[in-house]
Amino acid sequence: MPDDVSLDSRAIFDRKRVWHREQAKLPLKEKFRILIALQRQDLPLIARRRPLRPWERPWDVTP
Amino acid sequence: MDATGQGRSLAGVFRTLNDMRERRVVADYAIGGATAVLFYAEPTRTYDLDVFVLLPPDAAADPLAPLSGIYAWGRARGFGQEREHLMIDGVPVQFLAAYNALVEEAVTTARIHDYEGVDVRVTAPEHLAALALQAGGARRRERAWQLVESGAIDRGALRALLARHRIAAEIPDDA
Repeated sequence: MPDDVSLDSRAIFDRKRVWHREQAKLPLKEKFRILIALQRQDLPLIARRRPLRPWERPWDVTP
Repeated sequence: MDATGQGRSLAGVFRTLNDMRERRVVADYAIGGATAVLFYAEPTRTYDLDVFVLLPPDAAADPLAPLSGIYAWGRARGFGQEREHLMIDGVPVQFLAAYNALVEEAVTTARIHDYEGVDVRVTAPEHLAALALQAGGARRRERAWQLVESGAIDRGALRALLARHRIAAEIPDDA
C-alpha cells in the first residue's frame, strides 16, 4: 500500500510539472491576460485584509 | 494614451520604455521581477512592473536622487506618480537603479523579446534566478525554482553565474 501511495503521489507531481510547463509555453499575450485577471480577483480580497497601496490596482491596459 | 484610458495597451508601455532609452532618459533598461519571469515561465501574481535601469552619466550628478530625471521626464509626459511608481498607461512601473554588479550585468545582457510587434528588453532567466537567490527569502527562492522547473534555464550557465557573483545555492541536474 505505501508503494501505491508513493507511486500515486509521484504521478500527481509529474502531472503538475507537465501542467506548469504547458502554462509556461502559453503565448505571452495570454499570460498577461491571465496576470491581469489574477489582479482583478486578488486585489479586492487583499483590500479586505489591509489598505491597498495607492498603486495596487489592476493594470488598466489591454494585454 | 488618452484621458479615458481607451487605447492603452501593454505594448504601449513597452514602447514608452524604449522611448526612454532612445531619448537617453535611461542609458539602458531591462524588465525584472515577476513580470520578467512571465516571459519564461507561467504567470504569477504581481501588481507592478519592475524595471532595472542603468542611468546616463549626468544622472550621477545627484547621488541622493538618481531617479529624479526619470520622474521629471514622466511628469512632463503626463504620467501620474504613486509613491515610487510612475503610472505609465495604467501600469505602475517601478524603476530601480542598478544596485550591484549582478543587476548591471542583467541589464547589459537582457534578452530582446517581441511583444505585439514591440521590442522589449527582459532580464535573462538565469539572471532572474540568480537575482532571486541573491535577494533571498521564501518567495524569491520559489521564483528561482519556478524558472528552473520551467525548463527555460541553462543550468550550467546559472551555476557559473552564481559562482561568479558568489551566491551560494545548489542547482541540481534535474529538479
